[in-house]
Amino acid sequence: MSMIRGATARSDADGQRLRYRHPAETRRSAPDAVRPARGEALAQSDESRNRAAIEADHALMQEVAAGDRGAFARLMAIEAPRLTRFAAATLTDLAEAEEVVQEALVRLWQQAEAWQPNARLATWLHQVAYRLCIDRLRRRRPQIDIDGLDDTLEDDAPRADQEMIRADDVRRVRAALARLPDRQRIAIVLSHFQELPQAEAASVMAIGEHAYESLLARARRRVRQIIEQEEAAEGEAFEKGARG
Amino acid sequence: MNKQGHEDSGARRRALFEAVDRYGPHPGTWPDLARAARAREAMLADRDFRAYRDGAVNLNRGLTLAARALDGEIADAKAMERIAAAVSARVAPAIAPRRHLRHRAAAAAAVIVLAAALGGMVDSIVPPFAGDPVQVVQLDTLVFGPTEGDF
Repeated sequence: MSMIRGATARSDADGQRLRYRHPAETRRSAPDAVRPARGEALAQSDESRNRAAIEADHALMQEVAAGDRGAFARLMAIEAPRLTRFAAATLTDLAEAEEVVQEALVRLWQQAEAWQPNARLATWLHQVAYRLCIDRLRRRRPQIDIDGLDDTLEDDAPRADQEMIRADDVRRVRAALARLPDRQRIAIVLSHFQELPQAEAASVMAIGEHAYESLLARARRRVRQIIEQEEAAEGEAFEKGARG
Repeated sequence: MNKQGHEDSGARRRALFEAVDRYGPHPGTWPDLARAARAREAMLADRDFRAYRDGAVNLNRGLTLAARALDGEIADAKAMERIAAAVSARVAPAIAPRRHLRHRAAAAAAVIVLAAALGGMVDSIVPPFAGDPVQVVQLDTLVFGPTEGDF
């Protein structure tokens, strides 16, 4: 056992201890090629999985283009539930979300013969649904520029130290999401509801990856602030009620 | 530590909070490994940072629960059935006139070609009839009398 806390003993084949090395020293001396190689391997693995998925989507679209209604029914069964979740969370209205999803799927059907294996079906559908949702949101509030909402509604109040949220308080989370600016809500939905990688979510919103990261960071801060304010207001109301 | 050192330390600390907002509460997923290492140290040493990070974990959990609740509402409302029916109704008319007529014309042409081919094959396979030809015998009614058919 080592007498030096955190030190690592290396020994040769005969079990003779050669040298004690502090973990920090070990990290510093690790060849630079090791760390990037792991990252590159992971990136290549993701890319090959993505490529395989794009090719599978292309094969399915070729069946749809040939008039195979069974293939289109399978496609709808796979994509419609997630797409409906996205549209419903964005629009906070299930009836409107259904219309958006119907329109997106019909447009996909119309595109079937011209489909190119450049992107995943899910990404394309999310892009179409995103534009349709934005159009509907603008129609609801035409006098407000939803692109500017991120600046006008940014709250610089200091963050509270109290615990953020109870894990099972779905109502509070959804109420907070509904109060977010539209694009911030969409950024949250793409990341947390649809579980899209940031690059894909950025392409859905037709913005750069860095811009999406910033938007998502602002959205997370904002939703936490809203929930904290809600909890504080509920706490005050409770105390007032308790005092009678 | 001098003033510059304090400022650098403060900026680094703020960068950790910002990284939680940008990349999530799990340093293992952050792209900047050095900042991830500082975050792990801060989770042990900085109570405010740990509380902020825990708040992000709770937010993630709440959002996941909200997503599942929405899935349940969508299923209860039978939205998928309505969407599938509406989409099928909108795309179906495009199938019948455009593709069905083409298929029927192709089927009719195939039948004609097949019939012609079979007819040609019958001619080449079945030899001409080699037996006695049918002979028609005309009986002279003056010699043999009228027939029973009486016409």
